[in-house]
Amino acid sequence: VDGSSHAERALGEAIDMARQNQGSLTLVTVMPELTTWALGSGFTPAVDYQSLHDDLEREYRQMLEAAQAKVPPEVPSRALLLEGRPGQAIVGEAKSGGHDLVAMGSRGRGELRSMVLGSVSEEVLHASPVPVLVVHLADLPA
Amino acid sequence: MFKSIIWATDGSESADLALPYAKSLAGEQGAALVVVHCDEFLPGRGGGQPVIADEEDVKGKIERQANELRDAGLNASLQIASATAGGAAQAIATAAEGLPADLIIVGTRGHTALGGLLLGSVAQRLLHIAPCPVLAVPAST
Repeated sequence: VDGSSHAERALGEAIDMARQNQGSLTLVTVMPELTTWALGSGFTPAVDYQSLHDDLEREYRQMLEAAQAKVPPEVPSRALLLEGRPGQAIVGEAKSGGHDLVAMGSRGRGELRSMVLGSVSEEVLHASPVPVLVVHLADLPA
Repeated sequence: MFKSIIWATDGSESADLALPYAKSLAGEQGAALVVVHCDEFLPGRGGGQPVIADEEDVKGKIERQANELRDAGLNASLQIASATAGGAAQAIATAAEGLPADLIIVGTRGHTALGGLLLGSVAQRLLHIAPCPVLAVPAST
């Protein structure tokens, strides 16, 4: 989940599938690693790294908790906050977490625009060891 | 909750790997399973040539698979679409719209000339143009 309406729709499908199959859900969000850009210049960072990191983590965690709140109580779920490159982190969890399926939103919005979008879902599709359910929002605004 | 599921197949091994998922999802949910195959052809004199040389064999195999699904008690049907070369994804998306289907299941690599691509071009295009969710089943599960 990333707080987008695309991800939300994918979550809806994931909830349905988990319920149908008596499965459990792991909600994953990936927060970017700050070091690469905040500390990348080699100069003394102008920002307080730790407080920026904490703020960011708080926001991602809130978003994750808001998503988890949408999961009905009969579907067991857990929330996982990862850090790093989203595609890589999701594939890593798909490989190590013993999951049967990855559900995610595609940000594709039509043939042309989608070429520059949806890089995370594309990366996951390329490398995931398990089936990937890509929810495409043909009927929803981006 | 899926009522109508498409298994899109080009007769390749990768498509066959996606079949068990189509079977179990349709079975569990009591959904109609529509086997969709797109016959791609190169336009030309005499009605054009199929893109895959053994297109007739492929069709025969897919018909057998559809029959096996029905024998297994599934509400399965077969739809053969046709399109000019490169139009398979659009043809499958159109079939999904027409049904309408709630889910399209594909293997991530078909038998195209660009076998080296990790994600088949049909699967990739489908992800962008499908009117419903797409379940992409990797070749190496």
